[in-house]
Amino acid sequence: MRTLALARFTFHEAIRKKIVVAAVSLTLIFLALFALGTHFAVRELETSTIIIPSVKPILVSQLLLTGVWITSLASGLLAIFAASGTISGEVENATLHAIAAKPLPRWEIVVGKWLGLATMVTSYTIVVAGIVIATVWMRAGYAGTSPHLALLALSMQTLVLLSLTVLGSAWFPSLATSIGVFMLHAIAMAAGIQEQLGFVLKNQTMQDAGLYVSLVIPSDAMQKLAAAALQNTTGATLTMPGPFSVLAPPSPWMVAYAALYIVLCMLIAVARFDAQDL
Amino acid sequence: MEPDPAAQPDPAVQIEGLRKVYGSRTAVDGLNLIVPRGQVFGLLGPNGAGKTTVIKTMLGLVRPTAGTVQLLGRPSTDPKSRAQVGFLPEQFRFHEWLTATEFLDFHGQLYGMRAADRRVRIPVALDRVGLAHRADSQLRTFSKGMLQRIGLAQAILNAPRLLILDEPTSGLDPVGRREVRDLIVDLRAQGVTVLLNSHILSEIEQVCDQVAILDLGKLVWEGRPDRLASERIEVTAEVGDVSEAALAEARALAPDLGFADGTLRFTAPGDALIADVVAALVTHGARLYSLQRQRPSLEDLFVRLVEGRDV
Repeated sequence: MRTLALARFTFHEAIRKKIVVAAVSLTLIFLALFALGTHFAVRELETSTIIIPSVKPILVSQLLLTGVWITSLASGLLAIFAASGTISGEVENATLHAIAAKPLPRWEIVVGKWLGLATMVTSYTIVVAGIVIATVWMRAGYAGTSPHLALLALSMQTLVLLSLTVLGSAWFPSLATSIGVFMLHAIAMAAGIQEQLGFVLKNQTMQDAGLYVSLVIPSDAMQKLAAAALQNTTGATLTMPGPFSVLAPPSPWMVAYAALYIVLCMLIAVARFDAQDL
Repeated sequence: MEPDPAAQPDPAVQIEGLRKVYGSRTAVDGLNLIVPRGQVFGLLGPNGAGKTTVIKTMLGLVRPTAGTVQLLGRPSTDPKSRAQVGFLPEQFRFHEWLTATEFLDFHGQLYGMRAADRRVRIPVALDRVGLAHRADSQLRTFSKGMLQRIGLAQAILNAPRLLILDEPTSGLDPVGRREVRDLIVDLRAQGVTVLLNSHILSEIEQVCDQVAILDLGKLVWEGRPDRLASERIEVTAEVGDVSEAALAEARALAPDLGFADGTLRFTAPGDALIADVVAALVTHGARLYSLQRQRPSLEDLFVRLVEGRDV
C-alpha cells in the first residue's frame, strides 16, 4: 500500500521532470520523421526496379531495426537521467527526511521509487517501440518474427539500466551516477559490436569478451535480443548484415539473467540505503 | 481526556548509552535521556552539540554506533515505532508541484492511514495550522511561513502520541510563532508528548516542562526550565533600621547575604527564600524600601553552561 503510494508519487513526479517532458517532445518529432521516412522508403522499394526483390524485405527489416535501436537508446538514456538522483538527490536536498521518518521500512522507499520509475520508462519503451513496429507493419506488412519478445527484451534493457542507476544513486551523486551508468552502457554497446565482429571473423576471444561484458551489464544483450526478434531471418541477412543486424543473437536465457541482474541491483541498493545515514 | 499513566508505562523516548561517530568526529557521546509522556521536552545546545543527530537517531534516519533508543516502548530500529510519531524536520523541503491536500494525502498514505481517515484528518490538520483556505493551492505558491505550517500539518496528520519538532518556528513571523506555541500547548493538553528542538530560548522557556542541554554530544544539564533560571536569582534590597538580630536571622537563611550602606545583597535559589529573608528582616523591625530580583535569562545560563561554568 505504502510502496504503491510511493510508486504513484514517483511516477507523477517523474513525468513532471523537464528532462522527461523534453524527451517525450523530441520522441514525438522522431516518431513523425520515422513514419514519414518509412512511408517514402517503402514506396520507393515497392516501385523500384533496380533493387532485386529478395533484398527488399531485408531493407524493410533494417528500417525497423534502425527505429528500434534509436528507441532503445532513447529509453535507456531516459531511464538513466530520470533515476540518477532518485536517492542521492533526495538525500542531498532533504526531501527524503520526512518520508524516511514515516513508519515504513527503507526497502519500501527504494522499491516504491523503482516501481514508479519503472512504470514510466517501461511505458515509454513499450509505447514508442510499439509505434515504431506498428508503423513498419502498417506500411510494409512486416513486424519481425516475434515483436512481443522484442518489446519484452527492450523493456528489460530499460529496466536493467534503471536498476543499475538506482543502485548507483544509493552511493553516488546524480551526475556521477548518470555518467557512470551511461559509460557502462556505452562499453556494453561497444562490446556487443565486438562480439558480432568476432562471430563474422570466427574469433572466439572477441566473442567471449562481448559475453563477459554482457554479464557485467546485460543492457546491450537485451537490445540484441530485441533486434534478433525483429530482423529478417532469410539467408540474405547473414550475407549482408546491416549495422543493427544481429548475427549471433544472445541466448533467451539472457532475459532470465537480466531479471536476476535487476533483482541483485535492487537488493544491493536496498542494503546500501538501509545502512545509510540520512 | 487525560491519558492513563498505568496504561502507558513506557516513556515517550528512552535513550540509553547512545553514541554516534562520524569518521573521527563523535557527534553523540554516551547519551542517556528519558522523555516522559505528556510533556513538552526541550532539547537545547549550541550548533554541533548533537541535537539533530539525536533526533535523527530516534527516527531511524541515522544508525547509532552504540546504544539504544526506544520510542513509545518500541526500539527505534523497528519502523512501527514511528507509527504514532509526527516529525517536522529542520530543513523540510517540499515537492512543490503538489497542492496542500495532495501533499498531506501522500504523507497520510506513508503513515499507513486509510483513505477514509485521511479524508477526515486532512481538513482538520489544515485548519489547525490556518491553511484551510489554501487546501487546493500548489505548494510552490506558498510563502516560507506557510510552507512551515504545511510541514507542521503533515507532522500532526496522524494524530501522533509523540511529536518531534526540529526548529518549528523558523521562518515564522511573531504571530505564527505564537500560533505554534499555542498548538504545542494544546497538544500537550491532549496528552501528546512534544520534543522541541529550538534555538529560541524564550520559546523553550515558555512552553517546555523539561529541558535537556547538550554540548559536544553529551548531556550537560537536565531539568525544569524554571529551575534552571531560578537557581541564580540575585537580590538587591534597599533597607533601613536593620538590627544585628535581623541580619543574623537573614544570614541564617541566605549565607551569602552582605550588607553595606543600607543595601542588602544575596542570592536565592527561588522566590520562597527571598520572601523568607524579607519576612525575617521586617519581623525584626527593618524597613524595606525597594527590592530588585535580577534573574538571569535562560540564554545567559545556557551560554554559561556550554562555556563550562557551573550554574
